[in-house]
Amino acid sequence: MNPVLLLAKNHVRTLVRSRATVLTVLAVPLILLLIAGFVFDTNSLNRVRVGVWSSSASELSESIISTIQQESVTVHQYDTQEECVDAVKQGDQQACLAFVGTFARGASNTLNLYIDPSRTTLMYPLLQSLESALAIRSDELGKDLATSVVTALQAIRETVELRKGSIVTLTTSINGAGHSIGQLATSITPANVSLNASLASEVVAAGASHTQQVDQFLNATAALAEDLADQLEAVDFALNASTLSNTSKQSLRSQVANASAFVDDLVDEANVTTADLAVVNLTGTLEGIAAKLAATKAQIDAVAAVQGSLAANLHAVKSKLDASLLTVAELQKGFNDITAALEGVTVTDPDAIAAPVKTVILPVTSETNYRTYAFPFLMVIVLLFSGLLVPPLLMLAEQSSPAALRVSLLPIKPIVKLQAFFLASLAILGAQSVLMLIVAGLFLQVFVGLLPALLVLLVISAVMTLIGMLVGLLVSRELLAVLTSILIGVVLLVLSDFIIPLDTLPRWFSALAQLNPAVIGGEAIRSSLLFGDWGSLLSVGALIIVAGVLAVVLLVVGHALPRKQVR
Amino acid sequence: MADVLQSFVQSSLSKGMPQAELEQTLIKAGWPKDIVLKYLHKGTEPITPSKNAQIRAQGVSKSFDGKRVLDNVNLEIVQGEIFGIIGQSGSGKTTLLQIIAGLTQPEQGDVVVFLPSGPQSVRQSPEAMRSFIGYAAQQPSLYPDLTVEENLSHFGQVFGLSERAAKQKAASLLKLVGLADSKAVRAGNLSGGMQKRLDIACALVHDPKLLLMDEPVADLDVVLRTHLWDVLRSINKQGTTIVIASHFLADLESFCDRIGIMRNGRVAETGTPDELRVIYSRNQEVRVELGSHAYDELLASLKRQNIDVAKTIKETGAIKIQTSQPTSVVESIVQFSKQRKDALLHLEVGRPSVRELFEELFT
Repeated sequence: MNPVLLLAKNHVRTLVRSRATVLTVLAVPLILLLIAGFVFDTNSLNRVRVGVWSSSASELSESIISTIQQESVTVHQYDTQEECVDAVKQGDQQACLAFVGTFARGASNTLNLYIDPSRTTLMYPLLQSLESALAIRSDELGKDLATSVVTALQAIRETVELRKGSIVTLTTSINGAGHSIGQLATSITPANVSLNASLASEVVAAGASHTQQVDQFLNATAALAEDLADQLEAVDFALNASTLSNTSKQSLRSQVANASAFVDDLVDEANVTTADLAVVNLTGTLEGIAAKLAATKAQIDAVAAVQGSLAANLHAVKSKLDASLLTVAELQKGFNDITAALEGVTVTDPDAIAAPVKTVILPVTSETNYRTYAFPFLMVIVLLFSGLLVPPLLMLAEQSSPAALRVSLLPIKPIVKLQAFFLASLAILGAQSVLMLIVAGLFLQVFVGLLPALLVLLVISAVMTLIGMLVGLLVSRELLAVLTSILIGVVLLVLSDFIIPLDTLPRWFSALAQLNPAVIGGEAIRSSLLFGDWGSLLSVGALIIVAGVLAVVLLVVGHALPRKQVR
Repeated sequence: MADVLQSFVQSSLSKGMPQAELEQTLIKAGWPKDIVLKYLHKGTEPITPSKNAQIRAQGVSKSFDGKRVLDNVNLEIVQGEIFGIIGQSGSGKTTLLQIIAGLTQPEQGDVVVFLPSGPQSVRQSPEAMRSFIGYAAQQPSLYPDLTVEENLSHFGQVFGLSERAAKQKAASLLKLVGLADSKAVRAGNLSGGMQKRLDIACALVHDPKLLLMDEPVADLDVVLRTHLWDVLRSINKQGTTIVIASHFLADLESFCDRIGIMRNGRVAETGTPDELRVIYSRNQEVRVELGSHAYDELLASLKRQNIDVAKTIKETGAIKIQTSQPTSVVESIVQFSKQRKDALLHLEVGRPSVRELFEELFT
């Protein structure tokens, strides 16, 4: 046979020679699967314990409390926020809800949710559960607020629907008025423009023409008269200078004077003739104007006729505008209704509708490092497995030691040997505890309760050591002892808060698991290490009782078991 | 006749024939029942208590995995003697020592150890006698990670010595067993012989009144063996009763006051070495050394004369002839020497050694 197969076959044969080992090897996975299957057959917290503190009780805060109470949440009211948070630290409550401020409906409210992140496994289902409850209430509030908005909008819509006819009517009236005004404009504008333009231009043109003609005539007459006067003056001068008799001169002078008078008359005549001519021309012009004025009058008459219809149209427009006024009044009323409806919506902050209650998750300590929160439980896990493995391995190592025979010959009572194993194991676990606390103090620098934590760790070590010793007492092979210890360790681990929150387990099972030393120890070390709570030592009292019971069982078993005989 | 019956009984039992079947076989063959029972139950008959007994085993039986290792053992060891136990492997020597030491509980019977405080039953209070018993097993029983001195000091203190006294005791014992120079060496790093000596020292650390030793000299050389026997003698002289199971039969023969022979889970016989030789040997042993070393011719001559030669043991330059006719053998040897003019360098007649007796018994 292949040497590998040969050796493997021999290993298996050696192993199966011990029925207890075989049984354990087969039972370990089955038991673990059974427990794990049972434990993990849940997806939510069965019960949540929440502390509540409200700075001023409001209808909204009360309604939220009422809502979460309906979600399998046990609520306990606290007088101060500190008490509420302390309750979380001490494990009395799993979370603390702090209603800060007035917490009024319609405002954007903040709800502080204090949780303990060191309860690593509890935190998420707890948040899930509470957020679910709070989300329900928040949704309800949002729904209420949104409903009020929607109702207002509905009222507005109905008002608008109701007034839509008025607007149509108003539109029709305005359209009609517009049409009438259009017609009016059409009928008025051309008559006025043509009349004024032709008449004025013609009058101006005619006047200008006649004035020009008169001026030209007068100017020519004046020039002629001036020439004649100059001629007469020249004649007079020539007469004076002539040698003619005085009579002749007199007669000539008289003739010149007549000629001057004639000239003057001529000038006057010329002026009159010209004016007459201008009047004639002007008369013609005026006649033309009169004709045009007649035409204009005809047009004005026509306009007057139009004005009649315009008045009728204006009346029609007025009546329509009156009707529109009524419609506008109705619309005004509609707007008043809309304003009233909008005033009914008290929410002015959009956030108040979107998130009427904003939940802020806060840790109960100032630490934010997840490792810090997990550290106490890590220490308990270390002690759990060390306590389960070190004592039985010490005991079995002694049994399998070359010195075993001589030790069995020593004049020592079995109880003394048990005490020695206990002390040695406790020393080892104690050293581990001190080491872990040194690490905690040096590197994490967040712990305030190193001394109570050390005492708690020692008590945990003692209990685990006793369980381990029981294994060492009942089991005779190292492999079997290791398997048994691992099995017990895993069971204790599973039935603790480390992997799954006990509150998710069935109530009776959860109550049973509360006796788990890892649970009691975990709580105590968490309180002492993270919060410096000396009171955690009191909770360790239960652990000491467990240790006492274990010690008694250990002694009874140790006494009842047949003494291992040397072969 | 009795020797024939004894030989047959021994042979049959050693071949595994059940005792009841053997009893019926012998009775059917015509042997008287009382004689058959006497031989069959030899070593199992109740002993007569003596006044100075140190250990008294009565009706002790023990089985492992259904195999009877001790079968109704009766034995008494008196105070102050050195008692040797011999027997084949698996004959129950170690189990008997362990029962006496209180390490194993007998299924039937009991062992009473007579201590200064009074008789103590190992069945009822095995722990009570541990301060008075020292035990050195076949395999050294030590803490391999502790030094030689630490081992001794630890066990001494467990037995009630102060730390100082334990160290002083350790020093004296280490000197006694020749390990003084190795006191700082870890026990696991010692040789097999050194570990054995340390183990014996540990067995002596509390000055036991009864010292039980299982193959104490197995891994020791001749010098150390001799030294150890001297040590044990000195301890014995101080009043310590010593019980030794050993394969070094020659040593036991010369060292023990009495020897018990174990066979098939029983103590077949007890007595001084001389008593055992008388009881068990039908023959005497003639040791002869001829100058010519012509022993084959000598044996052929004895055969031609029909002289009984039960067994011959050739040694370097000599031969041992076990015979029921020692006088005839001696006469023939002298005659042979004269005829061949051979030098008769050595001629000795005596009982066979316990070792030879042992070999004869179990072969």
